[in-house]
Amino acid sequence: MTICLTSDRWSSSLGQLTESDKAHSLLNYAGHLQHNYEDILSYSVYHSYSKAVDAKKERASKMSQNFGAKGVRGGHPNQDKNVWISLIDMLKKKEKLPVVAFTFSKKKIDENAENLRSLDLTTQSEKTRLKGNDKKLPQVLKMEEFLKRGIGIHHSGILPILKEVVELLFQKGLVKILFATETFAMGVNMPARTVVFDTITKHDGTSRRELHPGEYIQMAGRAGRRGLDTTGTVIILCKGDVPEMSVLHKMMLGKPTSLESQFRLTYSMILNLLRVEQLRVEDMIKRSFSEFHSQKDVKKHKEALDKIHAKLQCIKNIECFLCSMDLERYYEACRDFRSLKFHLQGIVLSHPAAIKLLTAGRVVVINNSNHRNVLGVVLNSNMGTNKERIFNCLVICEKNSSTKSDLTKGDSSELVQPIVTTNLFQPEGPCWHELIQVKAEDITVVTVKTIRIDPDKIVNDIKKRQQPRFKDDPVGQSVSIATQELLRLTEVNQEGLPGLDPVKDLHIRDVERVEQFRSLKMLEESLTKYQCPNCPRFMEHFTQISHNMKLKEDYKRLKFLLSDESLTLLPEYQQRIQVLKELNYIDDNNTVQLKGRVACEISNHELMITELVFENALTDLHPTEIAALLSCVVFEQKNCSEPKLIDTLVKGKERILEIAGRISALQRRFGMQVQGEYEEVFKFGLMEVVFEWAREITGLTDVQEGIIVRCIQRLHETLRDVRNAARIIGDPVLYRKMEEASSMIKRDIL
Amino acid sequence: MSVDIRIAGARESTKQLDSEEISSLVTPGDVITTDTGFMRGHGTYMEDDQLKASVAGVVERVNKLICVKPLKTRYNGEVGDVVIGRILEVGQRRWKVDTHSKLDSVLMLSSVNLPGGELILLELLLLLDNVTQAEVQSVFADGSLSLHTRSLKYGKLGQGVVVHLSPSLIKRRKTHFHSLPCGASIILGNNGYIWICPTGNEMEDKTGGYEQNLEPVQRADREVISRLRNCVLALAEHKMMLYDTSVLYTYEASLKFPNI
Repeated sequence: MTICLTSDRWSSSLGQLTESDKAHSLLNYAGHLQHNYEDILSYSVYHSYSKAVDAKKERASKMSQNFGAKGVRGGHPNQDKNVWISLIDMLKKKEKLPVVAFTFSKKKIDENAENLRSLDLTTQSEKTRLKGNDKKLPQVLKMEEFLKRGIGIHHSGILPILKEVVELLFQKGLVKILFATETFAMGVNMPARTVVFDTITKHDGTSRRELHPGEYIQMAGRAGRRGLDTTGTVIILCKGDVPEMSVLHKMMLGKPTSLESQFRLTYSMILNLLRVEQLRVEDMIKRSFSEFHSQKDVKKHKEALDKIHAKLQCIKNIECFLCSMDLERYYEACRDFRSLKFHLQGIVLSHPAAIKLLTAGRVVVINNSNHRNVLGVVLNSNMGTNKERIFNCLVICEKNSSTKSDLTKGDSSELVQPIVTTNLFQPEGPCWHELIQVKAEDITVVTVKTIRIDPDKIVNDIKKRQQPRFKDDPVGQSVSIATQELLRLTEVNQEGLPGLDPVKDLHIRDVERVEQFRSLKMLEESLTKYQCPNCPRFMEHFTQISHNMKLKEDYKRLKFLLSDESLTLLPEYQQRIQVLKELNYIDDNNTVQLKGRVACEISNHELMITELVFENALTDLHPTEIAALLSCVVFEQKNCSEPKLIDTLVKGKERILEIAGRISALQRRFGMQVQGEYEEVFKFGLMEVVFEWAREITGLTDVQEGIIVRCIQRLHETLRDVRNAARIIGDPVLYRKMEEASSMIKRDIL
Repeated sequence: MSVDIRIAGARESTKQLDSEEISSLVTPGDVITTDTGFMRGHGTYMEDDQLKASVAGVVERVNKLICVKPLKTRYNGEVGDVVIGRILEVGQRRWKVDTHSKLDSVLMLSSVNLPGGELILLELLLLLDNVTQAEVQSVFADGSLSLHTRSLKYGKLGQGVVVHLSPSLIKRRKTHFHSLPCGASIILGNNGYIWICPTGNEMEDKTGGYEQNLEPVQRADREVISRLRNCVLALAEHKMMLYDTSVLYTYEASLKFPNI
């Protein structure tokens, strides 16, 4: 394994030359020594990073001495040119060519290449091997000049043939520096000796952001050709400021992007699946990657379901004449009461007013697995591990009770406990105290009473006595006062203390909440009216029925998970089916109609094109006009010059927009979430060009040639789809026109 | 007693040739409409700016498309239809199947589920005159169909009865394979061929029909099958649409007459 830390040599020679100062080496072999790699990398990164920062500071200070202003930031064009020229000079000296420079904007690539017109990197012998192309398109001529001097450009605006030429030459080694976008990184077998990053930020369609680790790895991994180079070099240009260390760290050592499902339900897919008798769309959805996480548990769920089913067969009903009247309803009432109370308690206790009240000295009633209905006083509170508030409280309890409050045990028992109104806990023997930690859900009532205490003294006292040395020390005064108070309160108010009223004391005015509190109160009152608690064997019966009900609930839940209803994509599927029914593509039995069969033939924008066909919008137009009109469904660039259109095209454009409006209104009516505006999906920028192309003229727009080519290729496919649709319908006129349009478009360079 | 008699000539013509109105039942040569805004589909042709029907049938209109669905026609295949066909020829790596369509359909060897995954001689799998159930995989440009039996439900059919009908009488539904409670199963192929057979063992389904149940069918079953066949033919005579419930009701109604 060869690792060369070139930082020293680099920075010394670089420091004076340019501002691009970051160099580090990549390991040649797979990083099975990952931690070593990271150590070494971070060391070398840090090392060269600090040198880079120093060099930059030096520069900046020198410049400010001369001009008295801040150093230049960002890509001043001349600055850029110098940067590149000096960079390439340096690389040439160090014999680090060929190099791929990743720039993330096509404009910048063209600029960079223009700036390097003066460079000539190929030797004489290599020149003779490059041949020019036949056609005299301006782009071709420009490329020819560049290639002769060993400079290449590669991005989506370039004609496909030229892209292939550049790739071939690069593979042969005749292109010394290639300015490319990141799609080049995905190409097979295109490694270079060096990789240069123009910047480490890019625009991803919505905003500017840093490169993701996965993208960085992919592009940087291009450096170093197997069998030809011993090491590969990656250079990041710092044209403005040197990027932050943390940013670089995250980019280079971060986790690559995780795999996410891109499964989308399309109308075309649904229609095709409905045609075949055997496949159900739900089955298809189930098998997609997006449902993977829920489906991988299917086997487990099935086994659990079978077990529960077996258990359910052997439950016996409760045979008690007192209880059988309303035991089930009582259980349900308890359960609802409990969940509602829990829910509301959570809201109350996170309310800012409540938090203010839950300070040291507030008396509360605690109810958890160890302490039932016990009075306690709040000492202090802090944030627990899951961002929930944990309160330290002092409670009274029996002496010599060895209960340990165990917050980490999670939820208390899953079975619903009967809500029997019990009195406050009173210690039978001598009163003792305990310091416990409670969560919000354990506090049943926040009373209106407070006690004056000194929380810190109490805590210290108790903690001190927990140490074995001080175990037998007498109880501190603060603690004993507090305990006495609690005991007195308990004796005085045995049925319980009134709690804070959420509306009056906490000022909760939200209508929904007030309603919920009221229903909680009513539930509480109704619980006293049930008969079953009077039964002598009530607890037994209650536990038994809670077991049974829990089994039944689990069974239902598992059945739901295993069924179709739990698919996340199911609601969208239903909505789409409704849209299709409304537009008459399928009938009420989900059988595919003629319109649906036509839509199956079309690969993108099925609804729009089918509607166009059936509205007879295309049959009367000339083939060139048809081609121009359909270009709007394949063209995707947003900002480009407005086309000049003839009358029929303008009318056609309006018609398309009208149909789009109709479809999007329908989709919205059924509740589908559509990204953005449906009408804006159609871009009319290329209509004129396509129209004229079908009649042989170019030069009408500023959209780059490569994009035009791609658009026309996709348009050709769309025209073919519509031609097949015409065959299904049985209209020979449309069929013929589509054929003509297709042949008019596909010629020459395509 | 007075009787109303009208002379044939005084009878009012019930066919109005209004340009706005589109009548629903047409015969060849009838003018459907004179409105030029419509696209023409199957079963129509243009003559002097008039849209005329070329077959006898029902006019269907979808947005701006007009087509005529004929009553009696050969089967026009669609992808996904279930058909029943008879083997006409055994070829190189394919079978030619008769499905009552304009051209013979083709069943490629690659589209067949081979039992046990082995390649046996074509002759052993499907012989001449065997009847098989298949699904339409695709339609060639000239209208001929390519079939496949890629599921265990499809394959060679054992003992049963084939009934020939017009394809327009079969209603397009979700499933075409019905197991009737009277002890027989019926397969309504979209191409107008119906297959009636006793509800055999479940095993036959799972092997794609390559293991045949050749034991003689019971007399009771035979009676049920014949009765069903007669019901189906009766429905066809009266041009009623055929689907599982209609056949079942007819069968139950026919039980009242023991001598069908």
